[in-house]
Amino acid sequence: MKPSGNDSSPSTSASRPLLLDLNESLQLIETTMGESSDLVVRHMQIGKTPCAALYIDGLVDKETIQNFLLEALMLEMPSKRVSTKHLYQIIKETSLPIGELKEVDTYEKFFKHLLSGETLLMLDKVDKALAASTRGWQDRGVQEATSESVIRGPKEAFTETLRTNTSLLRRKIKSPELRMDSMSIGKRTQTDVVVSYLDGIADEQVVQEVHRRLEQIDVDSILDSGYLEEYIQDGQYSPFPTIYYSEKPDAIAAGILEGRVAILTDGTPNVLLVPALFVNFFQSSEDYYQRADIGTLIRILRLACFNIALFMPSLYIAFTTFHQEMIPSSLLISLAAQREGVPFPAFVEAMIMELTFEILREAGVRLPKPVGSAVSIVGALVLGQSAVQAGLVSPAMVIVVALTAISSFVLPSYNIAIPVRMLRFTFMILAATFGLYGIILGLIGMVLHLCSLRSFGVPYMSPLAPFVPKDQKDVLVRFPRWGLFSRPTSTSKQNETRTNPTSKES
Amino acid sequence: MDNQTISPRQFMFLVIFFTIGSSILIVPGPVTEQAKQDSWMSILLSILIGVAIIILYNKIGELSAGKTFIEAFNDVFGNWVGRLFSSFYLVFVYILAALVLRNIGDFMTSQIMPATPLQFTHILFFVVVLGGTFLGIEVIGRSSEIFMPWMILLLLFLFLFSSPQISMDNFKPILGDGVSPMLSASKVMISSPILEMVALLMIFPYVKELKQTKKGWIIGSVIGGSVLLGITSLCILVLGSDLTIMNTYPTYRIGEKISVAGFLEGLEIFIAIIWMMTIFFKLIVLYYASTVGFAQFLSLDDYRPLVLPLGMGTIILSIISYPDVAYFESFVGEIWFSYALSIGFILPLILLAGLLIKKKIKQKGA
Repeated sequence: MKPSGNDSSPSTSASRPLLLDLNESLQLIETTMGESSDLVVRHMQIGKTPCAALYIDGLVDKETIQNFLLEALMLEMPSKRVSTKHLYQIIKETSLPIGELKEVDTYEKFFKHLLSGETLLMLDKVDKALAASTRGWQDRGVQEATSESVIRGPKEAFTETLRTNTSLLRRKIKSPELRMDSMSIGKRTQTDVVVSYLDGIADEQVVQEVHRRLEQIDVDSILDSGYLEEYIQDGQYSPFPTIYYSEKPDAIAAGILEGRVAILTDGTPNVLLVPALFVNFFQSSEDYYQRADIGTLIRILRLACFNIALFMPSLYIAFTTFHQEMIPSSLLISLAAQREGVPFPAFVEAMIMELTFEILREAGVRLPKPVGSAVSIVGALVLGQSAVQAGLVSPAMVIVVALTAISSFVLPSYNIAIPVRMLRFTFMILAATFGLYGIILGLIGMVLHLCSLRSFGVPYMSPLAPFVPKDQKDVLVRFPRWGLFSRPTSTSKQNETRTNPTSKES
Repeated sequence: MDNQTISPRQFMFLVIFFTIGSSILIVPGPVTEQAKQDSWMSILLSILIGVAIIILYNKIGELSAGKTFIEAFNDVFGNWVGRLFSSFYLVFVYILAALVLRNIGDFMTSQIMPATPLQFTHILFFVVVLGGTFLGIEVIGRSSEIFMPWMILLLLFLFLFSSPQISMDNFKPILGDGVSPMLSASKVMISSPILEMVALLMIFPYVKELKQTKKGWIIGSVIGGSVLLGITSLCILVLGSDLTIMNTYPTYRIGEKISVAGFLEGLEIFIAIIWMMTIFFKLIVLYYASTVGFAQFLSLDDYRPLVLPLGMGTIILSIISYPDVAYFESFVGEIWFSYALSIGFILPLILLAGLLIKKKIKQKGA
């Protein structure tokens, strides 16, 4: 293949119409593919017409090709004695017992079908080819979710195969209104992307906006939904995520039922959901499977943990450095005694411990499982205990860092823990320079920023700001199922009724 | 100017913050100084007078039909005379913004962070204000909705936990010095914040639903006034009128007196947080009003280019405006009332008269 300066343009011969002559055509295909070893070309003869079946080894189900394509063509066709003239038409209409059959007339389409695992049938003196769906490759199958585990509720997770993922959604929502608009993005990877929503419930404008943003992406490759996220998100320079993702079909189905739009990408189990509001990142699908009271309490706990994870180290710094008079005297004495031998100011101490924790966390994620336990021993014993014994940090600081770390794991979405991790350091710097004054101003600034964000046209902080009284039933408090009478107004403006209050047992 | 709008609820919250902000620092002391233990009555009186003034403002907002105070002046009195009047107004709002910034700076450097220079306190605070102003009124309105529940919680906390320290005897004798000190003390709160609310006429046109807005303004100022009433009463009841007068920041002293179960002590930081939040919103409303006002005064399409340069001016003005807190207290007691009255009452009256005459002429012509 010739090296091209502009990587976004596909090879030039591809958009040509198919050639009439079979041999010339095959030659062109083989040169374009560079005689790749996984391209299989099966020459055969039906009656007097030479023809060829092409497929990519490994992407196809060989049994289907054997049983329904080759057998039909090579064993059954000759007995029908059809004329050469109508051969193509006859094959297309009567002879191939395969569910999905498409006609292609350009090399661009030809390669697209061939490379997505279909078998292409070409006849001599016909400038069209038949694409039979024979897709079948190895995938890992539907397994339990690895990054979002639940105690109660469905445990299955999306896989890397797009069709499996759409079927998982279809199985949950058996409504003819469930739309699956598909498109392919990426000049080289031709990645299939499906936009899924409920027609009549999802906001039309959001659906159009999703399509518009996806269509304007011009890139060579899409390997994960994360690529798409960076292209289509609002607030490009904000640390806060404005797109929700999950690998659990029930979470995505619940979002679709609330009138949101899901974006499924081939090759990744992470499905995007828009519009995503700030409060969505504090809701787990399990809130709805457990009973309402515990669901509510856990949400309040999460909010508390969000604040602990964000402010705890900076508050410690501010209080011990600037506002000792505000600490109750008995606590102050014990804190001061602990800090007696520590050679660093509270800020440096906190910085060291927080950075250490970030290093441990990152190492724990990357390391293979058997080594992972070694890291946790080193982290817990060597760094935690020994650092205190060596007099490098105070025990109170270790407690603060541990509490911060555990709190950040309480947040159900990994996405929202990332800004917390980053902003924690900003707040620590503010605390070290301006004390509580700095922390509060930082908080006000953060809230101003959050209020300025939008996700696909919906204010990010809604339904808190702008305040929507009707939607408060599912924000901090989770009402019982029969109390969730309407869909959130921020995502679904039409068809709001969800349940009839009389359906509950009184 | 901007297509941004805010809801009547957001406007009401801004009014509440505006009423409480900075007045919570400056009102209890001076009022009690004049009216002693009867200061709660003066504040009650000021709220009543305040409602009357806000009805006047509402009338102006309604008559100017979607125009800000500055635009309405230009509209009624023409380009030159209108600009003459609105320049008085702009200077008032701009100076007020600088003074409010100085209030929080004085408080921070004298009570919480004595080692930090005033300039840096001001710069940090104002950077956040500038950011908020840049983002626009919509964002300001929304964040008021986020902070309101927290402020209510903190206030409840303050009232609840300081209630054991209350001694009702501190209210006695009622009207011991006669009615006149009580009446004259009400000037303090009328000038700040009631008459300062004339600045809200700059954001009035950006609120949806006129009728709700007018209601929201009155309700908001009554709620905010009640908080001031509660805080001042609390100061007298807990500290007594003498201690209230002696302290520069009497509310802060209440926080220091809180002690729950021998553990929850030194909760004055909660009061500091209430102050910072309310003053932030007052300042951002004032600063937004003055930048938008300047932009309209200069017939600019967008106020955003003015945000940074005017902000630098505000920081400098806030530092050079007065030498110390004692100077400021006498300024507030003696001069501010007449200044606020001329801009917050007489100027609106002139505009109202102009608007009414214009309306009459229009009706005759039609």
